[in-house]
Amino acid sequence: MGKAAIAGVGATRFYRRGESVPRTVLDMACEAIRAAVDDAGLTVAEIDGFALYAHSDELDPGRIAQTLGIKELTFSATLTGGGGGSAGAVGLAATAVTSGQARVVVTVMSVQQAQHRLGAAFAVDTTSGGAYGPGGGDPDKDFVAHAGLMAPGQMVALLAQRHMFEYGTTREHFAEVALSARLHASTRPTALRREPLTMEDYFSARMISDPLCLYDFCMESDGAAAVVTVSAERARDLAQPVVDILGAAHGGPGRWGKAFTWMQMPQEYFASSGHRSIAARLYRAAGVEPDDIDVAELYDHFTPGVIMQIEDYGFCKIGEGGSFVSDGSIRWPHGRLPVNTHGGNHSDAYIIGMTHVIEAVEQMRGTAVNQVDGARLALATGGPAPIPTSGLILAAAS
Amino acid sequence: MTDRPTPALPEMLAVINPDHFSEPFWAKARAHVLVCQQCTACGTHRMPPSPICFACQSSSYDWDTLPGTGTIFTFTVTRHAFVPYLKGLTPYVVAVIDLDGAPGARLVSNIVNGPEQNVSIGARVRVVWDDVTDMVTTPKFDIIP
Repeated sequence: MGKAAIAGVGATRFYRRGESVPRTVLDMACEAIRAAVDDAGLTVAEIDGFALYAHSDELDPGRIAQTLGIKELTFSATLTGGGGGSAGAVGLAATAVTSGQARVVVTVMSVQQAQHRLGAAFAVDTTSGGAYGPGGGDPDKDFVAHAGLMAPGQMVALLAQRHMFEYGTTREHFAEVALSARLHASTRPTALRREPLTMEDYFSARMISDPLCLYDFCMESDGAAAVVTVSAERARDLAQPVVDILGAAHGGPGRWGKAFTWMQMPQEYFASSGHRSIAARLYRAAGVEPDDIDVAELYDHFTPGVIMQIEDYGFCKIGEGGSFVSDGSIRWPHGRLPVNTHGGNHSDAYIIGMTHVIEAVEQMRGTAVNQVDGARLALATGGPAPIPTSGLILAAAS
Repeated sequence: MTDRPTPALPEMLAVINPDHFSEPFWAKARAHVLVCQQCTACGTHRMPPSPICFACQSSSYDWDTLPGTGTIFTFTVTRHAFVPYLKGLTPYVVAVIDLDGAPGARLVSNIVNGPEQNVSIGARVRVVWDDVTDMVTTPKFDIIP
């Protein structure tokens, strides 16, 4: 089987939460897809596959296909789970291409948080009543909802508190993740948050759910982003420098399961990103090691998740992620591992991880705004979240 | 049955959707008895209730009555009302509790009836029943002095 490559990337402008109205999720998705195929030097007519993640009824391939006028769809699949699959969906696209099921596969995310806010994603739906009232629901949720646990940020706070307890991680460490993301976004005209962020700002911000404060949370934003995957052979005839998909992996241990929405993960990796086994498989698939990675775009819904991924992807020992970030290691341009060179979900835009893939592609093309000199290998990851979580390693064409 | 701890979170949070496997937990909770599902083949406790043992895949189980004490595994003090119906009820403490008598099984709950400054990982807690409505009682915990 041959290799796959990312041939095109595209995005809408980004909006603060709700400000994309009266645009729609579908409208923004179509714009991002058109931009991505244009970037590749392809046409919409050549699209024959969709590989998505985080299923939503608004972002249904059938609806996108009828709207864009796709000629013939030969592959359409969605990775199960949520934001954990952003990197893995591109791996799914690569599978479609290398197995011959499709030639031009789109991965797209489009989000509009006007009515549905992801910040309280697991809040009780007040329109259903439960078995002791009208309606139905998830019996597992009964075991967390009554405690007022409904926001992903609260849930990650529980893992972060445990990480601090076990390893001595501090709020200063979390702050560095937010500060470095902001620093990176400051040079990017398209980023939503570019104003300077200082340690003083961080420590004077209001606490949301201890130990996490306002700046430990990513933004809620609107917009769409897409990438186009083709065979590596085909990519060589297209418009952009070739970016090879060196490896992709998704999944995770069964007992990571529903993760922080469930809280029964084994103690050994409770205070982790859930990516540890994926990292091992990913490096094996790509034939590289952590030291080979030049730039890492790590899904940053909350700052502690970045520190945990730095550990789980082997850039330092487990428990040493805090001290790893504290000496400037993740800052562009001088850090030994620049992380989220676009500003991530915290300061660039929160498009559920697709912007991380796009930034990794631009780094491999050598065209990123905050370009890492001589970067040859990039890591992009999906959210530390219920399984499947995922990772992707891209390579600059030699 | 009107005993509510402090803070008393809104009733709508305790509108539950039990199935065949979780119903006995909630029925016992109404009687102020804390139980945990236990595999009768290998003895593994599991929470929340589920059809099959994750350790040995047996589908035979029983309900083990627990002493009602435990240890705080982790916690967060939530200060922001993520939804409008929690305004005025913050801060509240969400905790994940290791249950005595059910190794490996945890409950997600609140630490109630005391200041949040007293909450720490490793603190010993005991169950306090929250009779939310006539139909639903939920397990909460307070710090053992």
